[in-house]
Amino acid sequence: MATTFDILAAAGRAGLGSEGAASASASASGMAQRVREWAQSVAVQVEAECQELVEIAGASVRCTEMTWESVSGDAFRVKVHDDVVENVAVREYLGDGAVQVRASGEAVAGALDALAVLIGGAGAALDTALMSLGSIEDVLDDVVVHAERVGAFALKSALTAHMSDPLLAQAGGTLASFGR
Amino acid sequence: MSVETTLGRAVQAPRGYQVQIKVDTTQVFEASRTLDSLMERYRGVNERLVPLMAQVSALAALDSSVAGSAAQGSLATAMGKLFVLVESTRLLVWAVGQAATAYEQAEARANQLLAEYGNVAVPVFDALSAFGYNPETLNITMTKDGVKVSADPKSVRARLDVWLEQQENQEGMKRATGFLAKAAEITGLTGDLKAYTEVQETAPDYLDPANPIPLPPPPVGAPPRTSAEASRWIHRGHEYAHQATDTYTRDHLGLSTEWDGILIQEYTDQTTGETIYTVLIPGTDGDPLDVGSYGNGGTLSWESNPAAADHLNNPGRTPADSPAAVQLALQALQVAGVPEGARIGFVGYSQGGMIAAALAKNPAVRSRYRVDMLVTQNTPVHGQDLGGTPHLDITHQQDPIHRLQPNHPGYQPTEQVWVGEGDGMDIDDHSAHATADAAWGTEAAHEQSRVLGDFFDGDYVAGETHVYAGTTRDPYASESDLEFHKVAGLANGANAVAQEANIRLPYLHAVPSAHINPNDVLYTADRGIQYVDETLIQPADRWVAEHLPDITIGDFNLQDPIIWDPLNRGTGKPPIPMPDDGITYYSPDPQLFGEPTGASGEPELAGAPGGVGGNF
Repeated sequence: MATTFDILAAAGRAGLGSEGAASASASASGMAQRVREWAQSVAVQVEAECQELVEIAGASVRCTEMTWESVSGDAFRVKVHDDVVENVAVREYLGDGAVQVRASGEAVAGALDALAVLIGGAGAALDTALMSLGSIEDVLDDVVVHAERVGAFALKSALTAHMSDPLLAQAGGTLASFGR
Repeated sequence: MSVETTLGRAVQAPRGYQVQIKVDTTQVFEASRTLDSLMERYRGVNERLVPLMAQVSALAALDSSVAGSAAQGSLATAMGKLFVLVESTRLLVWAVGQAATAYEQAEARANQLLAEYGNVAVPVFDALSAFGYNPETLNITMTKDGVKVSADPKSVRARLDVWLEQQENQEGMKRATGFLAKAAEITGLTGDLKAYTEVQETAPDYLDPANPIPLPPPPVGAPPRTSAEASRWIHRGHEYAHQATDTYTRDHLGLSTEWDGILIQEYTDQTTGETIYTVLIPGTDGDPLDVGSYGNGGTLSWESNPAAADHLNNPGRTPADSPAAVQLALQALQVAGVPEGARIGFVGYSQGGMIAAALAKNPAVRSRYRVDMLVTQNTPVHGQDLGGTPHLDITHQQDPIHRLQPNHPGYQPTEQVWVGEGDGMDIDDHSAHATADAAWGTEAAHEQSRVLGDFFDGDYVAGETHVYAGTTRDPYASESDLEFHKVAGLANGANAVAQEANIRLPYLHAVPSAHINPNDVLYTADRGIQYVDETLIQPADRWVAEHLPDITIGDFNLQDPIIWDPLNRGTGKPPIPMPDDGITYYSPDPQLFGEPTGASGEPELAGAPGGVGGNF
């Protein structure tokens, strides 16, 4: 007749711990990828606005190429020139912003990837601990003692903690709010 | 905005013409519309950045690194600047639109002023400056009978033509020509023919293709039949006569005096045996900047031009009162043995054309010979009444010289051939060489000429060529003799002119030229220049330097220009037209216009123009 330890060991061999962790880990990894794609998309849209500003500046300069020889004409050209200089400054800010958006997306995605690894690792460690209970021959009451001895509870807590990291919920909520 | 006109000086509408001031605001309004669309695009960028900014902020909330907040900061700064750009462009749209509207108002005002002046000759420049308008931005058109003539100062040629059409200007030109001729005579720079000679030793056959003058080959042996051929014929004759004369008188005879030649060419009909003659008078000889050559004795010198023009205006003079070149031609015809009743044709280039025309209508010549042809090139003889002589005129479109003599109403040459292209004026196109080249490149100049065809109606081939040279000085005068004569003549002439004009020169006194020491004259001239410099030029310089800082036109200070800022809405109006208290406008007829109605400091865009002393 199978003992309790045999049953726990069988649960460990069957991947009772890693099975739940794997789903959470994959979810974190997928979220990381979606964050990357999202950040990339935002950066591309910012860069598209930069290009629009380039075209506006070109049209502004062409506007000054007409012959208008007077004090007003001079003032007009000076003002358009100043605006084009400002346009260039805006483009620089936007270009820098696009770079930073990509970096930020990568940072968040990296954090999610790291979390996925932690979850996966914690699940696997829990399975290993459960499997080690199969070599123990004792009464049922000793199961808790032995489980504590092999660290199963601590591993379970760690797994639970990783799986409930606020970043996962925040990222998931944020992505969902922007339709990602 | 199309700007074709730069008016720095007064331009006035001659009688019979209407000046319309037109400001082409198309481009300015177009700029306003373009800027408006650019403003919308700026605003569109900013609007699209709003949701992006929200996403960046959400991303930054997840990001524990600095990248998120940095992105947030960059986009926020960009959006702030974009907002300023949108507003800035909006103001620029407004300012440009206001400027265009102001131009239109100024145009209406200027035209109103011109209309109210009626037939009073009012400089357009004055009309514009009445309200401080910058005339350099205007496009001014001049029309006559509804046809655009152009008042664009760049089109000097068109304006000169308009000017020359006016009777009073024609009279003025004639008076000026007469005065210059008289002045040249008084100063001794022109005079009677003192000596002449036939240039025999160095004169090869005019049509000899082996002659050393590097010119385009003429139709050897045959007379010219087209204007293009005639132009080359004239070019060659002009160069040949000058060079042959100079070579003979300077190199061969060693004379210091200046001589100019004319060329008589025989043509004989191979069928009938009749011999006809062409008399070619070259153009002006010498460099106008070569002051030392003045008064050396040339019959076709620069200073003899007024005499030639004046002679055309006074055809009744006897040969003795005619210019030296006319006297030389008459003498040459006799010496060359041209028989009475012979058919002759006069041909002239530039000044030579004026002499040729004068000869063609000279009663003494016409009573002795059959004057059957006149050919002129780049000559101010247009419209001169030439007594019915068939007249072919060849003129380069861009030559300014032929416009220096007023037209005679109703007269046109029998054939008028314009050669070359362009609507400007270029003194280089006056040359015989440039005109010959231009004629060769002009299709119309290759058509058969009726005037040439009628004169050379037969089987004519070129025969003997004669060059006769003449001078207005003692032919053997030395260089020092010539210098003394010139300086003394100038001094005496200056005194004579001053007395005529009732001016007492400070250092010169009328004395016979023979008593004047040239060195004294030069010394006096130096002191005269110093006197003018000290009493006029230097004080004027000081006055300008002193007053320039106080002079402003609109917002524009002459010494320290200030550029108007279109964003400064506080002024409320663009600077054009801008009222200016410093500009005083004087109307030509105080009874007609009365006192100014506009308050000082405000542009008066409707109502009567300002009167005497009114400030605008």
